[in-house]
Amino acid sequence: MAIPSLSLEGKVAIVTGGSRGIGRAIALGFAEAGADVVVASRTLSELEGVVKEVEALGRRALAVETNIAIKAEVDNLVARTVERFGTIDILVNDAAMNIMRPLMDLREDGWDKVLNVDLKGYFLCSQAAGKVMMEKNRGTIINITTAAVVKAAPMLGAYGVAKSGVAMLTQILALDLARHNIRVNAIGPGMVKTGFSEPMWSNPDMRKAIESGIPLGRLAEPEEIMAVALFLASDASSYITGQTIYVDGGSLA
Amino acid sequence: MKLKDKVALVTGAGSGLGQAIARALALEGAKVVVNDIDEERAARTVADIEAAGGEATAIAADVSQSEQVRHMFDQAVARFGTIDILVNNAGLLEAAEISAIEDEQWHHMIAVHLDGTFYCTREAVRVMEARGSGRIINMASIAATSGLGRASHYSAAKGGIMAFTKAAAKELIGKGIYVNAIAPGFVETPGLSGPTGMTGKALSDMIQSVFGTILLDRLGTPEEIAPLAVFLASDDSSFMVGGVISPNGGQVI
Repeated sequence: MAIPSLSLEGKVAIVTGGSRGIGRAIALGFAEAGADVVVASRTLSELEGVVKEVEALGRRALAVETNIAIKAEVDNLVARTVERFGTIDILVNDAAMNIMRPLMDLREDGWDKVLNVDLKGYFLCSQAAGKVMMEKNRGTIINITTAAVVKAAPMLGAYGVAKSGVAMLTQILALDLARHNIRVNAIGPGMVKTGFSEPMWSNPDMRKAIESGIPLGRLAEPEEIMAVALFLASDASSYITGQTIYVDGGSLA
Repeated sequence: MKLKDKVALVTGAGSGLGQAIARALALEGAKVVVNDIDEERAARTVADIEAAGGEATAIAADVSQSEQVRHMFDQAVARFGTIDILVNNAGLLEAAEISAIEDEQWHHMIAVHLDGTFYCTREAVRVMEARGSGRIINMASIAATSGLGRASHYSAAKGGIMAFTKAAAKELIGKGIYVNAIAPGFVETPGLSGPTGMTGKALSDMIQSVFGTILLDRLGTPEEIAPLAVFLASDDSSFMVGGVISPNGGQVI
């Protein structure tokens, strides 16, 4: 009886939001585990660094400028990936945006922007990459959500709503794609020390308040989310689908 | 190797899930104390681990008896010096309708799962808190989250383990002890195939007709659940506190 490993040898992964933070850590972690990696972000120049780092690990990399809220750009991301690497084995939906404002002060166009990227964008990427996976009857999709899906958090209004939608998107995709041998799961991180959440943790008082609500007493590092993504991307999680793994230092316990 | 020089104690490791977990931990470099109520079964798991080049020792004990548990931990520490990882896995599953469950049956079910998890956790914490580190992994079940009809005693016991996990996680993280749970769906083990006399697709079809559709349309294997225990025993899960991961093939999403 062989125990499945965490290797991604020979796999092709797309990571949206791959230029920084959690996405960048995942791109590098997957490359280290043996995968070729396609990173997507709205600004091509910001992807150059991570491409070089992936290549330095001995893997192939491709950067594709993509606004995931626009279908034509998502289709281009998937087409370029298939053209360059022949297939897609893993999709990590990580790209997201937040407007740090209480819902009462959020403008209509702000709501639309956040929902378009954080919810519609996840749907578009899953649909386009999922179709490639369906053809070969194999694949995994990992959606990065947030612990704010379960526990309402201030200043994460529209973002929290959109990511709650992604939690259900995860379950419905798992339902639809199981027969095609495609597993779909989510990771719900607590606050991770990235540029995305920096406006919150860079203020010492706010950071103290945040950390006091985390039993582990500290913020997560991006690599701690990457380790969970690697587990979900690999055969080590072959019986897991439709689940969200919360990685929150105990804040939801 | 993720667990080099760590010492793990796995209860109910003479067969099924516990056996696969003990083996997976050993393959990652841990020295494993293999507990089972049946001495011969425990010895077989040890022989299996040693044949694969690992290190293990067998200790027979009934986890529902606190004296036996205390003695087991004394023996384990005498043999390997400490306990870094505890996997509370010992358990049993039987079908019985509420109106037919005898007092003894009910108490036995609660005792093995809940008393056993508590007794072993208590002893492990006494060892771990002195060093300020440790990892405890409890076996919950989809019965804890969803309830299994005709297994109310089992569901109640597993639900207790789930609540105990979260409470222990909050209480113990300050001492450097991480507590998380695995909530498996139906896994093809001797505990399941023995009483039913079925295996493979027949067993999977029967289970699905009684307990609901499994999206992946098959039962889990012990070998594909085991990596989750390695994950929760290692630094890969360093931001997970009081978490529950449910490998259930998409039966409960």
